[in-house]
Amino acid sequence: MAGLHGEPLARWNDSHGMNRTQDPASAAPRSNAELDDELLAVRCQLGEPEAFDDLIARWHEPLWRYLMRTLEAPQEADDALQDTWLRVLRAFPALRDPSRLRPWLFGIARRALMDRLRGQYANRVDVSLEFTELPDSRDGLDIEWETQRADTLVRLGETLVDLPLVEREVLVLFYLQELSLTQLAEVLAVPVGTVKSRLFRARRMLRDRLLAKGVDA
Amino acid sequence: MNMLPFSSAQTQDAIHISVAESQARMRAGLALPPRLVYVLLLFASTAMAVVLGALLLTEPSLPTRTQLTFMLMLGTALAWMGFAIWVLRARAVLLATHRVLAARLGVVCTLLFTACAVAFAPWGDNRAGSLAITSTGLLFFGFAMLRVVQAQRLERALQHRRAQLQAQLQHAGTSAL
Repeated sequence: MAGLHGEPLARWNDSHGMNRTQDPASAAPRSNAELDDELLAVRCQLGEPEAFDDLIARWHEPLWRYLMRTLEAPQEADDALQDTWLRVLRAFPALRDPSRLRPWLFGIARRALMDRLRGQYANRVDVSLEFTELPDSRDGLDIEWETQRADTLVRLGETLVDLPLVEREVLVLFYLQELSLTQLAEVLAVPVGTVKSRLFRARRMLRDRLLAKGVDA
Repeated sequence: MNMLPFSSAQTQDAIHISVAESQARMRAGLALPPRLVYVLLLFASTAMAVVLGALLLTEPSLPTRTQLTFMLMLGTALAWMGFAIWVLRARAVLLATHRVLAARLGVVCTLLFTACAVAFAPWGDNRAGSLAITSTGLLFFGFAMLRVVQAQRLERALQHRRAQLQAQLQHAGTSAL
């Protein structure tokens, strides 16, 4: 998936990320990935079985990662993902704007997730994430900086899963899945203002916890 | 080389359900025969409900026990209609090409139904009943034709959009070269 490649830490530290309100569908010009997504959605709406294969091949992992970071266990995430695909198939005739495939998919995944979490919403989640795989070789880079960065990433991951569900979810969708504020509002079914305040609170909570662990946030 | 803080390689290892498995399940969910079965169930139960309803309305001289039996059968037909509609709307949903096929099937079924009603009308004594059944058949035939037009329009619009997007992507690919 596009998005996390490049400078992950810069994204996490990007306080200007909150300005990402622009809806990619309405901004010109649209990227090939967005056009590809819309084409995929249109083919699915037509009922092409191969299009559904492509849809799953493209979105299986990003959706699973989102579900995994919010639910308690991989098995739960697997079940939620299967539920999501079933809902996607049933909801396709109702998809009015194929260019909004990305937030639409995450919105469905979120509804599947919320149905699973209902009744255990208040429980604290203890998901064990591993962030040990790092670049095997990066010529010209400072080894010490790399080590420090690796340590920061591990702590970041640990701290993220320690956050309450609402805050963790908004951070995962905004920073890891790179949804815009508009798309995020669509997925979460809340106004953009609420998304901003949730993001603000989540960032502050994350920063406080990182500081408590001795990480320069 | 993987620079992601949330490594895709690691999460891929942790996913128990594979892409191929999900694709197979989706393919099973997309299968056409079960959809057509429910479409046919809808048409059959509707035809049954129309005939029974017409008989009940135009044959007041029927014995009470027969009327009660017909009412029971009518209720059953309506229940099957409701079930088929629910399945087609919520479970085995119809995508664009499925809709075209289902609508064409509807045209054939309503045409057959109306033709049968017209063909059997001379042998019956109940002219009002025959007229009601034939009129309803014609009405449903018109509705089925309308659905064919709507379904084809939707399919054409989607195919047009697909062609546009493919051209845009092709153009973008050529420009990049």
